[in-house]
Amino acid sequence: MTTLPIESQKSAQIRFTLNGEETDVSFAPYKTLLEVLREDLGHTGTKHGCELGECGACAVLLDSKPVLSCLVLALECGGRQVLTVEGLGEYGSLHPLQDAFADLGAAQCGYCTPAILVTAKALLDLNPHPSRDQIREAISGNLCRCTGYLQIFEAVEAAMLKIADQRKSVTQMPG
Amino acid sequence: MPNEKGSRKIPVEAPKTNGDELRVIGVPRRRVDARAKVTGQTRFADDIFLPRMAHCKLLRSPHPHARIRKIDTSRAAAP
Repeated sequence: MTTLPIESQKSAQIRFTLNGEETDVSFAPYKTLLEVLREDLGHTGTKHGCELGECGACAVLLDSKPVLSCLVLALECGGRQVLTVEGLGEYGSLHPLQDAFADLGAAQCGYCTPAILVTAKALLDLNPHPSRDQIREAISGNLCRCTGYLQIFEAVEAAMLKIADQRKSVTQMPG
Repeated sequence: MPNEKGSRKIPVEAPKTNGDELRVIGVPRRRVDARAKVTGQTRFADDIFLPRMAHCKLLRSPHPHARIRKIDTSRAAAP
């Protein structure tokens, strides 16, 4: 059996929005979104965990919804919006979630962190004031073997308060 | 809310000595690698791609106790 050289396997091509930027990518058609992000686009912030949909380390937002990128074919993503951890902060500043995770020790080894950050962002976008149980439920698909989750819940709550504060100060700004 | 039941106490104010605020002791400090970890910039072994890199695959035995006679590596061999 002969195998084609890797470049000529890149027979599929899509255009999609990656972290707010229009992106064209060529890749082998059997590849998952996770593989295309990491191998063809060099975005290694999204982690490769179990590849079975069990650990949640590969979560990204597809049209603002958290999905396990190891179970999504890249071919399905043409014309859609993908957000990864690389697209969280704006203009070199950290997203309030990233700040809270860094301040409160919610990122230890850091392998589960990118996926939990985007999953938490999807939750806060949908529900700006989730309860502890709602946070627990939203993060339940993401395994973390370091923190015991307490620091993560606290960080999401701290970020939630900070985002609410920011909104308040924006609406109170004169003019 | 932070500091609710089941949460750790997060210190808010820095402890004082002779009226001066302590800047390190008793104050939460950010880990030196925290920023890299929350931005996805930390490089794990799996994130390193090098030219001419060899890949390996773990092949597990389907039998709990058996002697390996041979392993067919033809599909894994480079073209």
